[in-house]
Amino acid sequence: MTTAAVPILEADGMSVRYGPQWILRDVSFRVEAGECLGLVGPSGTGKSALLRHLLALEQTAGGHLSLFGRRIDGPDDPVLHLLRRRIGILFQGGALFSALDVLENVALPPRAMHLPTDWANAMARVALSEAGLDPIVTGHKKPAELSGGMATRAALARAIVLGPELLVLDEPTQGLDPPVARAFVTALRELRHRSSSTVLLVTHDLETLRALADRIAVLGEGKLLTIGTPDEVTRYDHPVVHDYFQGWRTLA
Amino acid sequence: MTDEASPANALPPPRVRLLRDGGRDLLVVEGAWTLHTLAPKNVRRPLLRRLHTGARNAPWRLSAAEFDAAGACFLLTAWSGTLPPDLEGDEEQRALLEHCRNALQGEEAPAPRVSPLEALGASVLGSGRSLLHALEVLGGFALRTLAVLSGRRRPHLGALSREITATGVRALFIVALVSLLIGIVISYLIALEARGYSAYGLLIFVLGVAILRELGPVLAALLVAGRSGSAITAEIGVMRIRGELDALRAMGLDEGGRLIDPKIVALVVALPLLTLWSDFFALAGGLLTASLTLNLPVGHLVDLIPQTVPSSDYWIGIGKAAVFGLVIGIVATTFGLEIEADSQSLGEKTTRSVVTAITTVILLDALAALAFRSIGLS
Repeated sequence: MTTAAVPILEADGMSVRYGPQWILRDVSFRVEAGECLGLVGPSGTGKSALLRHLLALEQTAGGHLSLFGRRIDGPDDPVLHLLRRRIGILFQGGALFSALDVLENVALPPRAMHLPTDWANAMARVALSEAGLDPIVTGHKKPAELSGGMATRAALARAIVLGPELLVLDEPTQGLDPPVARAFVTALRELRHRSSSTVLLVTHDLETLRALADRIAVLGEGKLLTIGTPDEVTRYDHPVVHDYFQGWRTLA
Repeated sequence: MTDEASPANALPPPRVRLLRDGGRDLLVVEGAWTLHTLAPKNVRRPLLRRLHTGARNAPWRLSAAEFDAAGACFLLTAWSGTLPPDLEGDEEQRALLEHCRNALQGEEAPAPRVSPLEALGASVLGSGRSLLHALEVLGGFALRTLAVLSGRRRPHLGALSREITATGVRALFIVALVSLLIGIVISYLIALEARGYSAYGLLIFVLGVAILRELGPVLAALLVAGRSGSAITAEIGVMRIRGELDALRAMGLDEGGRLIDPKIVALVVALPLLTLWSDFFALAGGLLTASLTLNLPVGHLVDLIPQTVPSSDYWIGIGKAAVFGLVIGIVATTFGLEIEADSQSLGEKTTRSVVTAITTVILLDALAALAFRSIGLS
């Protein structure tokens, strides 16, 4: 087995349950190295719940999860501590630490690895400029002083500061107005172009999906409905998929 | 374990080599300069020494090395943010290094330095502002209460009932427990002393005055300030951070009448009742202990209370409790409304709310002791 064949993330028959309620059953898919997989589905289909399980933040109700070819036993698996450094996550709404300024937020992952301050800060400033922010202007601002677009960019900088092999984007354009969202998507595309990292994208926004995703997985009715290239998925004959991608053709 | 941390562990380790090339020194940067290869301290230290001492003007060769953004940042920090003038490397490496250098360029704004005097001034001004805010809250509360009393405004009785449950009913157990224990302790210590003089009347007088006039209201107020004062500040603060207060205002619902007044009124109502409750348990503990220590029937000691303790002491205690409730309510809501949109401010203001409420209660208690010194006390 060559390293190229190992998927970055593999869900094998994963099920998600909250209390007595099954949210998702038997979800299997792979995120291959270098691709951008879009994870979509109507509201309430368990995208965020699945994402929490894919990041091993919660115990799955069934099935297996592998990250970088390594089977994960649960949220307490000791190997996760090291694997998580290889994953950058842009949380919904940014989840910047409000008590820290922007530079401190972005420098936190390298600082947590006990890297020296000047190196960590240099990495943070480079990551900020990669994400399209001026480190001098925004570095010392508190997250509360940022606009929505800037906060998302700062959160992106924090997600990419360690040069992750897997970048997870949870609703990256939510709450951004169209021009800001477009600029952000362009920045993401450029970033992917430069770093060729693998991306798992959870989004509601078809435009973002169209611009970034190489493959799309559609959740609905408590399961994975279909997965494939945008063309395959949008042609898939299922009422939920059909509804969801209404207007996809006209978007082009 | 490190296998999982570094996918790049197959790469050659980073190093700096000195090469003599046709009579001149050449510094050759080799191996993989990535986050994962450079993360261990023992790898970094010799490299840093090499990079620092490497003659500033000596030529560098990068072509044999491989690096990512973290590695480029590492080189640049070692070179104090500048690139050596004589640098040999391929296009891609130069581009990455220059990209990182550009990001690092420019003076970082110096962290604002605050002198101790400035900090003192800011804290005094801050306290002054808080006092003004508190007066504003008090004024608004008074105006709305007058409007309710004159029938021009409808009170939110549902909210009031919920608040009284939260601040009063749920505090019953803790107030009873603390009061009982304090009553037992005080009574035991005084009874030991009083036994020598057979001064039972004095014992009951001291117990009665201490508990009814001071301990009951102050104990209840301190417990409520810690329990409900902090809860009110945090609740209003979180509502403010999440924009719920703006939503209330925007929908034309007044946050004063719906949110603030019920909390203050609940405290003003609940605290005197809790004081009564506290009086009961402290006296019960005190009298039981005294009767056990002195071998006197409890009934006899209970009979002594109305004879020795003036009823005005009791009323002063209850009256103080109502004022304490008002103070705790005003302080807690004032600090809640001052919370800003970050997590640190929430903790800070909640702490200040409790500390201010407790300090104010004790200060007012001291003033009351002076003001009412000629009332009661026989």
